Amino acid sequence: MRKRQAAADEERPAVRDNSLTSMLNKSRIGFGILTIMAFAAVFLALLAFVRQSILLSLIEKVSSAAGTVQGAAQGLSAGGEAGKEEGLSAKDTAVRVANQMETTGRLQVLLADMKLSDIYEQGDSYGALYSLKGEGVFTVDLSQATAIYDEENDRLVIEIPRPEFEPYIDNSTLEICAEYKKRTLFNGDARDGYRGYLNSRTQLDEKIRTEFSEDPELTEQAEASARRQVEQLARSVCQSAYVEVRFKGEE
Amino acid sequence: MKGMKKKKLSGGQMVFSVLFAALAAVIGISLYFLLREKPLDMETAYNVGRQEAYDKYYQMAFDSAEEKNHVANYGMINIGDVREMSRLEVLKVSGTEFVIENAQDNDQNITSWIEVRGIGIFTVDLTLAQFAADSSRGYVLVRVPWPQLTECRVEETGKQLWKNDWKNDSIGDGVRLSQAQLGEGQKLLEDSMRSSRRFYDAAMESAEWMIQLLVRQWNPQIPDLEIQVEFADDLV
Repeated sequence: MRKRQAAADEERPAVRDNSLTSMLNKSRIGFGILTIMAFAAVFLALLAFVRQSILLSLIEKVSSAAGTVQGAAQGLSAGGEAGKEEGLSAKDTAVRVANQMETTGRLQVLLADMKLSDIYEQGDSYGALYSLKGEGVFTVDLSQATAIYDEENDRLVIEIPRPEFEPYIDNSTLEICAEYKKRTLFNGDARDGYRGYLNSRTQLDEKIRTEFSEDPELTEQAEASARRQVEQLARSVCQSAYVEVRFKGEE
Repeated sequence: MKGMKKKKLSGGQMVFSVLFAALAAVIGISLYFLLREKPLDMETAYNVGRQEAYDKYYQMAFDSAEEKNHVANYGMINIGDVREMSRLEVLKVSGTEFVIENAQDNDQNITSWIEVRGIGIFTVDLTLAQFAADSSRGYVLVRVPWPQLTECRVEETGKQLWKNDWKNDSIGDGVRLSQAQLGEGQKLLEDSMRSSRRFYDAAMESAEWMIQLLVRQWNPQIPDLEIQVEFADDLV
């Protein structure tokens, strides 16, 4: 009886259930598909971004690296040849006129002998005390001077600009009084010392110019001398009875 | 297929799967939009980070190098004689000389060729000048000494060729060489300016023109003034 029932069951065709739940219930593949879909969604979303930046960049870099190897080989060869031609072309040629001259109309009115003593320090490894001689000159620019003649009183009024100072330090008068060199194996670079001193000379000239121009005693002395010298000079050449010298802007 | 047991998903697992898929999709889409909108911010962050790091390390390196190479000068000027004068600057000239120091010239094996540029001033000493005027003829004779180069100064250095061996020597060696080359440059400049016939001729011409201009400017009441300038050796 039981055997007959079993045989009948085997022969009976299975009833097909097409609903999603039934399909998923039938195997674990359904669960897997859903999970894969979820990850795929995330992956695709990330890919959309990554494609724009990192991936493309990576692909570009890989392509670029391949191109670089080939390009480098070709570039080195071609560039070397072209560079040699360019280098030997002597285009890097400059010419300047070494000796130039210009007329100046300045009258030197006061001259001061100077001795510059300088303590020079560079880092903690070098120091020197040295001196240089030179002179400082106050000049009046006569090309800026104006002369007004008062015919009625036979008087000449000369207006001059105020004196300006210029230092002339003679580098050939250098005397080194003392020198310190740190005793170490690596004591800087000679080129740095060379540049440091050159720049110092420029800076010192500039500071001397400023310092002297602002020195009230010397400036006063220079102004008095300027007035006297121009007046004396004008009296020597001027046929007028009276000569008056004053600075521009002065009442 | 006999003997194989098919494991069915429970209702809870089903709900979990659907929710998980939906969640993943939402997260994915959100991430896509979020990240898609942010490249500019990432770039900005990168640039800011890079700039901050650059500034920080630049300053660190700068401070350290500055301290190591810091050059300081303490200059003191002693003023000697101060005297009044009346010297007319008639010509300002500029010159260039090359000072050559080859490796075999020094113990440090340094080669330094440097261009030294300077200026020189030619003057006429008017304190020695003699003026003779003839008012009736409207004539002035000015006798002055010959122009002289009285001032010379190194203004700057230009091109330099510098070669040294691997030892680099020391700061002191460089300072000494620099001092020597500037001193030599000054002498060369002075010598070349002093020996230039062209400069003397130009200085005389300029002095003549300038003195005439001054005399004429200071005698405006005499329009047709004749001025003669004479250079003389006997003026002391």
